[in-house]
Parts: sequence; C-alpha cells; structure tokens
Amino acid sequence: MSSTQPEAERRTRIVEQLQADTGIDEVMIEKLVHAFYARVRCDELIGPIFAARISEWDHHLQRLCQFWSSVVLMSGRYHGSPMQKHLALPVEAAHFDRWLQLFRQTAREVCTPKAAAVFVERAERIARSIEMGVASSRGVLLASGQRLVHATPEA
Amino acid sequence: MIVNNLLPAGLTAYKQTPIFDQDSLPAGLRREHRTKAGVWALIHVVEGSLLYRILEPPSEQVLLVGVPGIVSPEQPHEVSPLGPMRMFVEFYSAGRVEREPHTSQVL
Repeated sequence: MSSTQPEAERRTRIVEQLQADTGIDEVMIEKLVHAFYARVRCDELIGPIFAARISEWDHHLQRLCQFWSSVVLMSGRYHGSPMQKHLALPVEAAHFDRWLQLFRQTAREVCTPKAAAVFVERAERIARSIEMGVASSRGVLLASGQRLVHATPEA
Repeated sequence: MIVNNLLPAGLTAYKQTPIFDQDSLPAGLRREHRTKAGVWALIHVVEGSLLYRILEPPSEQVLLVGVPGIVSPEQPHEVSPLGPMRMFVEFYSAGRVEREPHTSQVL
C-alpha cells in the first residue's frame, strides 16, 4: 500500500519528533530485540514454545526487528500476520504475562527511560490484542480484566 | 491478511467499509459507537497502527497489520489513529443482513 506524499511527510515528521524525544532508532530496536529474545530463549515457561517452532533464529530476529521498526518507527518494513501465527500456540495468560515481564525488564535495561516507556506501552496493548484474539479463536470472549486460561494440553 | 477464525462459528461477512486513512476516518468511528445486536466486526489495519478502545468494560489495544481488533455486538468502542494509518472494518452477522451495522449513523 503506497502512501501519498503529504502522508509520507507527516509520517517522517512524527517519527523524527519521536526519535528526538526518545532516542529510538533501528540500532536501539536491534539491541532490544536481540537482548529480549536471548532472555526469552532461556526462559523455562516460554522458551520451549519458541524452541519448538523456530529453527532459523537469525531470520526470526530480523523479522522481529522489522516488526518493531514498523510498530514504533512506522517504517512499514514488516509484512507478517502476527495474530494468525499466535492462534495455534499453546498459550494462556501466564505466557503473555511472562513475555511482558521479560520485555519490560529488557526494555528498561537496554533503552532510555522514555524509549522503554514507548516500547512497553505498545507491547502491552499488542499483547492484549493478541490474547483477546487467541481467546476468541477458542470461542472465549474476554471482558476487560478477564484473562485467557486453560491452555491446550500440549503446552 | 484476513484472519477469519477469530469470531464465533456461523457468522458471515456481509459488509466492508472503504479503506479509511487518518484523515478520512469518519468522526462516528472516532467517538463512542456500537454495533447492533447480532453484529460483530473485525477492524483490520493495513498500514500503520490504530488505538482501539473498548469503553465498557474499559480496555485499550493497539491494532496493526495482522493484528485485527474484535468488536462484539453492542459493545461501546472508539478508535483513534496512532499516526498515519489505513484501516477498514468488516461486519459479520449470523443470518439477517443489516443494512446499517451500527445502532446510529456513524459511517
């Protein structure tokens, strides 16, 4: 989907302002993504879920950098279907909580406080969308504050 | 791109909005509105990101390409662009096709 010229200029202005305020750039995204998934891979709860599905970690990390670049810097570099990818996973609230806990920890260590706040806010709301989507695909509609429980047994 | 197994079984898509951008997004979608009884919707972002706020009970989500938002029947909600974006809404129902999916004119 191509953008018109004024939109592209507007996008550039918004991103430049965000970068001036927070220091977020592609280098910071790469550091965050790599540090975060190094931690995820060692985690006893969520590490095995990734290990069972991802063999090409270099490629996966590259895609995750593109994802975060699209989310925060509006770069449009990512073209995937994160919701679809998550629907079949044996996950429930505890997995989402652990993912976010590790993400917050890593963001605070790797990023400036303002940048960490931006990443964490996006991560929390995206995780919520995906948790609601996973629940809904299992026939459960989550109300606010309600969590997804009872993962599939192979978790 | 369409995620079609997010909604209860037996629903059929019967209407789709045009693609709106951050400027053309109708005011009715930006402020509180709700779908009629029996009408579900999926909010699909095709570029950029969108804040999807459910008002009752309150929750906030960020929708992106590949991360659609689920709208339950009669649930009050609103959306606001997070910078430049493009999105559209797909409406679903089980049987009777509603000409106007919302409880009041929002599009």
